[in-house]
Amino acid sequence: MILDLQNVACGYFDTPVLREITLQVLPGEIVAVVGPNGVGKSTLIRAASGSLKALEGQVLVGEQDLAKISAPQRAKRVSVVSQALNLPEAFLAMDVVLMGRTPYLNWFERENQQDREIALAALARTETEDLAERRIGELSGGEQQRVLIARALAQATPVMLLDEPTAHLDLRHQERLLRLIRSLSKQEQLSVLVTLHDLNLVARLADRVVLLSNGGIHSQGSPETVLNPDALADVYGIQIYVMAHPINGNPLILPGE
Amino acid sequence: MKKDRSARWSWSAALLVLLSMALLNIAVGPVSLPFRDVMALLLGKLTSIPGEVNPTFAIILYSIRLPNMVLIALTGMALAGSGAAFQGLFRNPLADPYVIGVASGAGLGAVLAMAASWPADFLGMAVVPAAAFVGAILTVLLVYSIARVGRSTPVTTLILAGVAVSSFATAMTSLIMLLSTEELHRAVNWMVGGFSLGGWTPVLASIPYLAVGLFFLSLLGRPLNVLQFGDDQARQLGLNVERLKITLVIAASMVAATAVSFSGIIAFVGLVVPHVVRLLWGPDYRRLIPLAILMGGAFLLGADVIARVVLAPRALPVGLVTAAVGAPFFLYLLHRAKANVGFW
Repeated sequence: MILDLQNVACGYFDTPVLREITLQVLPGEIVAVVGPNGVGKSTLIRAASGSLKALEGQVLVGEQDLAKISAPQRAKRVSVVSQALNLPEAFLAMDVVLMGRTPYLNWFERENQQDREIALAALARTETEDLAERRIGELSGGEQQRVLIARALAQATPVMLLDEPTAHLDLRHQERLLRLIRSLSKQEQLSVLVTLHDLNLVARLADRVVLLSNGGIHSQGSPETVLNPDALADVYGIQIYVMAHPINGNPLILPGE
Repeated sequence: MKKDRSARWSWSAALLVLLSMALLNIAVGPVSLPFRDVMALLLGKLTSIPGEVNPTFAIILYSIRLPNMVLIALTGMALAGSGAAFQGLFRNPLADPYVIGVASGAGLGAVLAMAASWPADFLGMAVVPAAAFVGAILTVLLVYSIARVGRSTPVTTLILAGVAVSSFATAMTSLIMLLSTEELHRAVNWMVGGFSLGGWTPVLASIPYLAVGLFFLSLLGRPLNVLQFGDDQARQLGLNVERLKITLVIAASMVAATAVSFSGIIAFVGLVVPHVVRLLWGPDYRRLIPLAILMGGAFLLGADVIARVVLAPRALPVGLVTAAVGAPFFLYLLHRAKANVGFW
């Protein structure tokens, strides 16, 4: 299903952080949101999930306006992979993934065999099945991030939002996570909206890029067009060079004089 | 699979501890009832073979010891169950009905009701918890709105707000007592946690509130687990966060208020018991709440035995014993929170 933000303004206490946000994410497509610190990337994720009500405009999944449906109904359409911070460390990874079944259960219901199988499949898909009986507090940052992706998969939503999934990960784990997100998007035809800091990762992961600046969208389009030196210098306020990766030809972004 | 076996073991262990504390509590007192006679009376009632037991033992057992024991057990269950629920709700292991001021708020409500008319009959007694409940709900809303910083409830502000609101409620309670007729001097004894009402009436009056409240709390473990990831993630996982919080506040305040109405303000049960359960059997609220309820009953029954034995024949208020155990424990938890090494 298409994630469709139409002229959205969002923020806190009636003061918009972002205005006039219009963007679409198609099934099987990865759209990356980039921009300087504090520009409102996480706010955009919260608004796109419907957990933060848009002050203006609409967030649609398929034809459905997220503002008009209940929290469980929203959570059947959009899953969110937050940054792995302040997790309640003593829960077992399997129990965390089972929490992805929350929208399908009422308060008093317990997970049944089918929910368990879905959770196990999600653990297998993210290569975390060996961690099922471990406490999440004991896991490394990369493992925690993959368990949170498994939880989002257990929600079985057509749209997945990820907030800085590669933060604090080393190169190998960044690489592994990128490959996972790519294969999820392509194979399960997920619509993926992801915020990322590292522009070189964006260049390799995203089908399209949305560049945020000063409370709105500066430009959006393919990585090659959006990630150009002039636009980046304009938004980040420093000199930035873009060249072609010597092996795969992806844009390679380098700051500096 | 290891987990499942430890889970099954935890239920039998908690039940066994509760049962032995109940029997010990019945047997200990100014007239010590031989264990054999207690068993003969309890089982004999069922099979109608009274045996050759001293008839005064039967009277002591059925009209004094047994109802007192049940009321103490119910009080402990209510305090520990609501403590565990408040800890989950605030995502803060130092929350407990006493610390966050709910107990004092309930006390103020109860004393106001008692000042209006001293409860003598069943109906009168059933009104006191309702007044205490109103006091408890108002207190928790006040403390929560003061303690909230942005989207979280930090330990320090929660405790400070709890202390401030609690002191205010206690001051008001004292004022009402001073201004009222001497009938209310009985309430002074009640406030420090003495079980002085006696008989089956308070037990029967409290059971409807406690049964409903504890039943709800026990069944809300799964959504309460989801809430541990924070409001935002819980909402994104499809939990109706506001509705769950309101339900939990109502159920936890109702059981705490009922306990306060019949047993006075007993500190720290709701803090110590859930924490011990967490250490023994993990942080999963699906098990934590019902196990805390069972162990809370056992804990207060044990504390009550100590209260009656230490200075025998004088009986101490049970609240003194729980405070003596709980206050150092509270400081220890605060120290750990300061060291920021995690809580379970």
